[in-house]
Amino acid sequence: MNEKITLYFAKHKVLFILLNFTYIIIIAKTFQMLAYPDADFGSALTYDRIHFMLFGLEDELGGLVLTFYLAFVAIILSFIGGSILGIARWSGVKIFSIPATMFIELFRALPHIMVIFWVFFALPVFFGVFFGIKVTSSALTSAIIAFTLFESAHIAEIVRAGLNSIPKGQFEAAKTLGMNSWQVFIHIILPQAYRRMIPSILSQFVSLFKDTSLVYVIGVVEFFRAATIINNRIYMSFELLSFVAIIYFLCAFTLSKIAGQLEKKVEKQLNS
Amino acid sequence: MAYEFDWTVLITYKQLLIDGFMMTLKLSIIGIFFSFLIGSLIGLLRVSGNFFLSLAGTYYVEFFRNIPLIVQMFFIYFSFTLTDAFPFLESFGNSIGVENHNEFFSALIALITYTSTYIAEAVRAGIQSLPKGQMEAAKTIGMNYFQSMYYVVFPQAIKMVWGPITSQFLNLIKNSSLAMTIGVAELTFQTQEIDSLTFRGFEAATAVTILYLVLTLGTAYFMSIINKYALVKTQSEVGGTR
Repeated sequence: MNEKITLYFAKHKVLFILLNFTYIIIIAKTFQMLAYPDADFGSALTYDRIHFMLFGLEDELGGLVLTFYLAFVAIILSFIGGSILGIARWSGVKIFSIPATMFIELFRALPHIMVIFWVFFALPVFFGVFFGIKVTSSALTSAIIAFTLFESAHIAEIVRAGLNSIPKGQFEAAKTLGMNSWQVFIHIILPQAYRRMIPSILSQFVSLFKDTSLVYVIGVVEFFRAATIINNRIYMSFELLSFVAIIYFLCAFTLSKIAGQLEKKVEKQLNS
Repeated sequence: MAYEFDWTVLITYKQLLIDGFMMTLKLSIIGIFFSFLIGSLIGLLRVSGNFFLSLAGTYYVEFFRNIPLIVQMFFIYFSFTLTDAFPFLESFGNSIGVENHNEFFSALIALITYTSTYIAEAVRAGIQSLPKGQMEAAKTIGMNYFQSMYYVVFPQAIKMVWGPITSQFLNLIKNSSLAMTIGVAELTFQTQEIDSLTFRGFEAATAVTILYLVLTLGTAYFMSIINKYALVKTQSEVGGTR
């Protein structure tokens, strides 16, 4: 019986999606009836409020757009930082690998919210004490710096794992062709390693996308903060926060599905 | 701009730090216990082979994994009054010495749901990585599905994925710092508290950072000890007697 159902839905994907949709709608509706019978989505989610949550105010970046902006900028910066750190740790040259290892382990062991606080409150003081420079950074800049710091630690581990997964034979084969170590690394090892890393980096991007909601604590008006601002005014938390949850879910779910597809594709390429 | 360090503030306000540390410990220990329990159950649902059970497991995992933890916390905290809905939470909270029941349990439930999804995925991966023969062999000697799952498959699967599960436990400890946003007085919250009392957030943050490092590294060490002594030896470690 089970095999029959599984096979049937593997054949008819559209039906499967429709079944999921009906289930989800039934579950969500039942949950809302049980938990919050007098929920009023119509009056909570007016056009203005949704516009504010998605795009922020007129003249500045905000809302969901800012969330994506933060995630993109941070992932690009931490891709660079993470590559440098990961290669440094992988290289085994002690001058590079020990500081890189310490950095990675420190930022992986700290709560993300602590890193954000450190950057926002302590970094200006640090610069003042040790270099005598007066630094004033906005909340947005601090957020990007903080994300870059801990996200490069995570990506460095991905880079290291990718580099470790390259078989030793690749080095030796390239060396026999007469390349020096540097050429081997740039032309042979790195491209292969990056191809294997793409899915993991994409799933790291999903987790970064979810982590952007943490900048709530230092007052960057991104999607979640925008929703709480409205919530503080009208206090319809069930309606607003379920809207927020649904939007986050849709974005993160789509991204993680794309990552899964890519992973399958990369695996197929590597196995062929 | 000169900043004079004054570490004595840590001694003056050491009670705050100790309270915060205890609160983080409570969140972490209860959270780890329940998220492992629920995560294993959901993981088992997903590999159960029953179409609808595994669909339910998939819903749970995808739903709670793709919503940020802070949103879950806010949703539970602002939309429900947990102690009204579940009165036993009050006595449970009193017995573990927690004053703000609503805040504490909202944070705890969000932490459990969020972390258990990752643990469910790890458990599922572990069970799927085991050869099918294990289940079949257990069934041949007369065990039913639950017995063979409990005595044969599950212990081996846990052993396989102990590393990822450990890192999820560490993530839970780190994520417990988010409980400060809804007002649970744990470590990060106490940093802010000391900062607002004395304007010495710098020293407080340093102390709290070190405490977190101790907590995570200690947990990692503890888990590796469990892995070494308490978990079942897999076949390759025993020496593969065939």
